Amino acid sequence: MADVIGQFEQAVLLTLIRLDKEAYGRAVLNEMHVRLGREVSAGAVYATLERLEAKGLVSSRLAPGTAIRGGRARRYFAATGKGIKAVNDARAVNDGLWQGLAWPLRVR
Amino acid sequence: MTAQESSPPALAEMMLHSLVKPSEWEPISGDLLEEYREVREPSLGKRRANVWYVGQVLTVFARLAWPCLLLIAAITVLSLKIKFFWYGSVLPLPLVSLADAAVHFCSGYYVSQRTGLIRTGALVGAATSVTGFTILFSSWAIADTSLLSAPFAKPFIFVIVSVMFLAAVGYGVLAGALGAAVSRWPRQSQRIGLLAAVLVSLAGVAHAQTPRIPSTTFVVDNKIMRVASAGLDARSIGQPVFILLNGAGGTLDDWRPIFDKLSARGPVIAYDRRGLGGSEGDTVPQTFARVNGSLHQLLAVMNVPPPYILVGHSWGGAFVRAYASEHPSEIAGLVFLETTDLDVTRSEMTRLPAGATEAVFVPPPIPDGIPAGMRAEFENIKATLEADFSTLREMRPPTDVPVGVAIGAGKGAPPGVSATVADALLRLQIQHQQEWTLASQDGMLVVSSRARHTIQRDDPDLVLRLIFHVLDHAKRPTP
Repeated sequence: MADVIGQFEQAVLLTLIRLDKEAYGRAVLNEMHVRLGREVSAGAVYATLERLEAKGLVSSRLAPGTAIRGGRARRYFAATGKGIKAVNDARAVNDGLWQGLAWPLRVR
Repeated sequence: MTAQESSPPALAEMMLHSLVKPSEWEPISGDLLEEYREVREPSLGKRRANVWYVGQVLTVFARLAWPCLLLIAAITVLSLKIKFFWYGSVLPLPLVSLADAAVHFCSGYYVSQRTGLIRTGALVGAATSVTGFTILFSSWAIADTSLLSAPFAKPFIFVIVSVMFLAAVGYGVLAGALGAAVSRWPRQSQRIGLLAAVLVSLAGVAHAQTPRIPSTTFVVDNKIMRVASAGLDARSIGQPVFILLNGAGGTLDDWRPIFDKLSARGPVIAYDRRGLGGSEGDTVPQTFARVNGSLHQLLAVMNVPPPYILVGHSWGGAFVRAYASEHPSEIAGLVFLETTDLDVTRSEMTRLPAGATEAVFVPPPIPDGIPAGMRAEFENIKATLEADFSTLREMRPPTDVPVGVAIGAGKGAPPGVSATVADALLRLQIQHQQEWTLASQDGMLVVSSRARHTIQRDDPDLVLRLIFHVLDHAKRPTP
């Protein structure tokens, strides 16, 4: 069965895909801040990344840290094939719902 | 100092260290440190950057612990609303209920499973404890806003609250860490541990369910004494007060079966002797003079002047006799419920079946390791028996007051005593104690063949009738 993902999970996955090779925690947080136009909480993003990885929609690898971060390792994330399919499915469902409707909807 | 070197608050970093899996510590704390040094600190300044950092750590904390905090809030609010929801925790601590302890424990279990760290459980256990404590105190402060200013008027209140707070936090840390430790056991052991926890909890609930009389405490001679009282505010001048004296090693809760009905007819006081129940232990031997001296002081502290109707159960009757002899003018009536036969002599024993002397005059062995208060009580019994009751026999309680005596003839033989000896001793007790009633102006002796030793529980109506008889004939205070 295809993985059904929530709105926030979808936002995280799309951010990973957009950042491609640069998708480590802090970059994801900042990019989501820009894209969503609001502060996202670190707790929420890390918890979502952990959950997506547990579901197999995201993979990660550790890379050496830089001096400014006290030499602490960075974890880079990437959407897996399953993750990309999940985002595609989510978009397809959304498109299905919108089919034949003109955007933006008019308020009667 | 350059931005490269500046660091967020160490405490917040430590907290974060306890909230993430060890494998995620470097990536997550590194990310936050990078953002802190590169962006937040230069643009916001040190202080606001620190606030931002703490906020980020709190979001990580909230993600992990919100179910636990929600649960403790619900439990605490529930315990405020539903009176019978509150059971004392397994380790007795004021303000920590069994449900609280269970929430701390489960929280520790839950969060530690997420991070694999025992310190996560301890931290979240502390957090649930603080949350519960805060809700409890806030609700009290809302109900009575004078509480908020009380610590300023009397600084020791602040100390008491702080100590209770720290104790509660310590409890939370302990329970949370325990839950965390259990979560790391193998499955099979977890099941056994869980079963043990449930059994201990049920024992705690059962213990809490044993009926207790609502009580309060007084400080007498720098030590706490637990007291239950009723009807003192409505006392009219010269109205006698029932003073209830427990049997050996007993607590005021033994009076539960008659306490309320007694209070319908007059003011009542029951108390735990020093070292028993909720009363702090004494530092000197608990002789009759010493024990009754404490009672006398207690009544002075409570501002309850005579007259009194003393009601003693079992060994408590010995204290009644001693008190009445020492303070005869304070007494309006005396009631002895299944009181130890205080008039037996060794020579009488020779006419009784074999084994009677041992049954009466050999003091019960005092086991090692019994609580100090209990031991002090048994030491007094031992000394009294070794003196062949002479101390008590020489006492002269007043005879111008009504005396009621109730004997439970259904008590049977104590362990190690034959039925014939027990029967002979019962008849001797009836013979001796009827003299107490005959010496008094308004004596009444009741012997219930059904009631056992705890006669106020076995036949409360009979005991109440006896006490009310004494009340109805109570000595009027001389003007």
